[in-house]
Amino acid sequence: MPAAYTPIATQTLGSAAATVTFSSIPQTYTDLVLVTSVLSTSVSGWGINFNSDVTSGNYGYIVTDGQGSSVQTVRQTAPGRLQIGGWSIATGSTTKPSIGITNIFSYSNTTTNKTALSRSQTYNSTTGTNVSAFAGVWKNTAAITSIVVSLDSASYSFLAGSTFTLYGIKAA
Amino acid sequence: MLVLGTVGSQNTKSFASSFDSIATLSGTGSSDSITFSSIPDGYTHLQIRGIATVNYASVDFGTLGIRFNGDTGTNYSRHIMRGFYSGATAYSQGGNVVSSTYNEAGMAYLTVGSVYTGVSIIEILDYANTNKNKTVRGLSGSYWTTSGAVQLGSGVWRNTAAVTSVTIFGSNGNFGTNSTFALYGIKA
Repeated sequence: MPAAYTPIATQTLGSAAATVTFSSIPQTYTDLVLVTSVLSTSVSGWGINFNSDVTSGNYGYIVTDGQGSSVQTVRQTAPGRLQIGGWSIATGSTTKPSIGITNIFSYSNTTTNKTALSRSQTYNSTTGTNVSAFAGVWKNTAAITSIVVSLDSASYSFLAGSTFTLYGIKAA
Repeated sequence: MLVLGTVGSQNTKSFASSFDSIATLSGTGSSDSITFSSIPDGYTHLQIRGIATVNYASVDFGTLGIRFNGDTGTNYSRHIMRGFYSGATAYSQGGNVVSSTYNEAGMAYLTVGSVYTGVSIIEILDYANTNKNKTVRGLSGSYWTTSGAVQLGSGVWRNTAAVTSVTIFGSNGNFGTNSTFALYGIKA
């Protein structure tokens, strides 16, 4: 039986970079899974844009986030990208990664907007850890052909050692 | 003596697949449930990945129920943690039902044919083991122009039988034809 869960590409940063891009994504899978392991000294969340679309009104997400003994839910209606990690706690460690798993459903269909689910755990060497769950949408019916991962500001960088792996899942 | 050093190159090994696609089912527009039947027992865990719309206009999103082997008795227990918006207010809530006729593990968007959908990942752990009750967990969510929801759910089916069929149903109406659920088997 052919493998249904296949690595498409992995990027391990050898030096700091502001963005990581997966381009020319094959259209032969059903879903995509993006696994991120982020090192950054910037106090930041991290997120993704599809097909170079940075228009704020084209994205939206809801996040439920736990830190310490508190839980909060926040909805962002025009964030400019899909947040996939970091909320009440932001990144901020050179050695302890913040991690996320993002599922992008039916990414190649051209009849529905693209919905993603993410779970993340963020570590900051000063403020501690949190855990978050995100549901978000890209309000576009186009097939996803590229993904750019970024921090909250263009001046922030992922540090060397950060890893980003994109998987494809193929249904029968 | 074994010397560990820097690997200058690495061969690509061929591994047997440990995550297999078993079956995919789509909504018909006239039924409120889909059933995976005759599930093979050759895997360790099951995963269901779905996108869904449900034909119901009263509220914005609907949760999905799941049952095993056609059991509609009060043999299930479930627990959720959910964040959602209603009106302009955010809610973070948890809840449990000790005795239920189903587990709750997914989410759909409640307008059939919409460009918005609900999405779900449902995992049934150790489904073929006949010495323990069966546990299920789910991550699901939906987002649309006026609201959104994200949910973590877990539950147990108080039965030690191997799971041979799984039924997913919309609590508020029929699945739209753009609803798709894919069943995967995961090997240890």
